Formats: sequence, C-alpha cells, structure tokens
Amino acid sequence: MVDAVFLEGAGCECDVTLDTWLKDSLPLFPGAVRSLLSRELVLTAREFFERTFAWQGLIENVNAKAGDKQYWQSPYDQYSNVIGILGVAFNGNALTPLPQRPARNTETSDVPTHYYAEPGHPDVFHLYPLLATDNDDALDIFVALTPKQSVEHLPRIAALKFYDAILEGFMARMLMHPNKPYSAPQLAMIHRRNFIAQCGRYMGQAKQGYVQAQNWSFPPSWGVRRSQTL
Amino acid sequence: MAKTYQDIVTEARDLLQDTEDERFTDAYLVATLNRGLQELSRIRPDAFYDLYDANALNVPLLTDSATPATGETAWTVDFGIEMQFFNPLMMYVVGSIEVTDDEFTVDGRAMMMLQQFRNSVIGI
Repeated sequence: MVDAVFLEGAGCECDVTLDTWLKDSLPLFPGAVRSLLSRELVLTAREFFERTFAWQGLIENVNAKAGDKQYWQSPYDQYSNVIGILGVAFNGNALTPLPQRPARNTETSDVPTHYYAEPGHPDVFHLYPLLATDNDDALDIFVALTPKQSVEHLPRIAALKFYDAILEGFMARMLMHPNKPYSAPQLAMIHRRNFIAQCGRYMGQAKQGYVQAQNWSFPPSWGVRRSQTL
Repeated sequence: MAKTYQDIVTEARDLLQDTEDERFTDAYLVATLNRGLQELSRIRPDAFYDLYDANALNVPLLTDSATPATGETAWTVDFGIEMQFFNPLMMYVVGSIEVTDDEFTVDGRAMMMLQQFRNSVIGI
C-alpha cells in the first residue's frame, strides 16, 4: 500500500488577465462568442505549457515521510497544476531519476538517492530507497506547471516572455473553427506553424534551464538511460 | 435595460406591420422564434456556449404563457445569448412569417430576410 503526501502551501504569480490577448485579437474574430474566445485562450496556454515545460517552479521544504509514499504536487495553487517533475532534492542534494519504478523494493535508508516520477501521474513521485524515518522540510521539488482549465488569469511569464507564441496558437485555434464569420483555415495553418515553431524554441530554452546549457544537462530526467536502475 | 426574448417579437411586429397584434398571435410568433433558436443552435452551436450544461446546448424553449411548464422559458426573461444574435433572430422571425403570409406576401422579401439571418451568423 502506497500512502500519499499532498502539497501544502505554494505560491504562484498568476496575475495576467486574459484581456491582454483578447483585446489584441478583437479585429480578427468578428461574430465570435466572447466566452468561447476566453476558453480557447486558456486551452492554448495549457497546450503551450504542456508542450514546452517552459513554466517551471520550485516547491520547497516539503516534508519527507517514512515508508513507500506517493508525493502529489497538484494543485500547485488555485491557478495552476504540476505537469512534470523535473527534479527532486533531499536536504539540498539532487536525487537521480529512475526510468521505471523498482519492483518489490523494500530497502530503507535515512537518505534516499533516487526518485521515480510516475508517467501515469505527471505530478507524482516516489523516493528510493524508502525513507526509514520522517524528515521534515527535507524535499525541494523542481516542477513544470500549467494553468488550470478554470482560470481567468495566466502566469506573468505568459505575458512577459510567451505573449506572441500564445497569441499565435490562440489565433490558429480560433481561425480553424468551421463555418464562422471569422473562419480562415489557411491563415490558421500559418499561425499554427508559427505556434509549433515557437513551442520548439521555448521547449529548447526550458530544457537548457534558461542558461543556454546543453539541453541534455537539465532536467536530468530527460537524459536518463533506461538501464539506470537501483 | 436588458433586452428580452419578447423584444424580438415586438420588433418583428414592427417589420411585419402588425404593431396592433391583429394579424399574428403571440403564440405563433414565439413558436417561430423557437424554430429560429433551434436553427441557430444547428449552424452556430457556440451561440449557446454559456447555456451549455450536462452535455446539452439547452436551447431555450420559449412560451408566452405567464406560467411556463417544465422545460419551458418565459419569453419575458433576459435575452440569454450574445446580443449579436438578437437581430438575426428577429430577421428569422420576420422572414419565416412572411413566407406563410398569403395576404401581403412578398416572396423576395421573405427570402431576403431568411438569407440575411444565415449570412449574419456565419458571414460578415
């Protein structure tokens, strides 16, 4: 039986209203239903961050619990969810990611050396070897974030850095709508290609950890070999 | 003050030259408006985006009765979708009524109104 440890108290900076994009797109979508526009914009932002892992955060001082535990990181806060575990540190020491979950592992230790991020739950990880005792405030977790579907605000980084990328994807989604006054499928494909290109660009930057490092150096889970096990 | 569904019928009566309510009953015009709402939901389902619930568009079934039955909506309630669809629906009502009006029928006018309804919701 695996217990669950849920995240308590995290912070976020979702203070950018959707109006920033919606007003700029006014001339493009005559006859569009405004609430549908908002929805498509949020879906575009989610797609962007899910594709790129470009919005990253650090969750600090999480209690580590003894035994086989699932550490659940979502919701990050009222605006966002965790969509990827990029790294885990125990008392400041980075742990090595495992490509698959160790079977029937009951080994315990006071200091875990590995973590395993569940592919079926992108916001969940386990520690290995299993902790022998509780260790308060021991874990720091690097995560990738995405806005919740219900939000009316997007993170600052969306407007500061990814404004045009999200606008491209948003316009593509809207212009692809069939049989509307604003339908323009060919124009949509141009915007869609631009969006995909921007996703690739920012995905690369995110993989480099925004320090122009070689992109296999961060996050470690993307460079792990399948043969690397406990 | 917000427009109501009843205002569509009232404005349609102006164009039908029936402001005294002598040629067409309210029930007849409301039934036509209901067909217009259904037609709108077919070609512009997103018009009812805000009314969507439980995997249904929840297109209002209007009635001029003061005591609506279950599932019906009083025509006196606020126009529940975006105002951009108010005028097209009014044109649908006028066009549809003109088609059936054998007293003062002007077929070209009826067709123009119905075409204008369609153009307004799927074209510029």
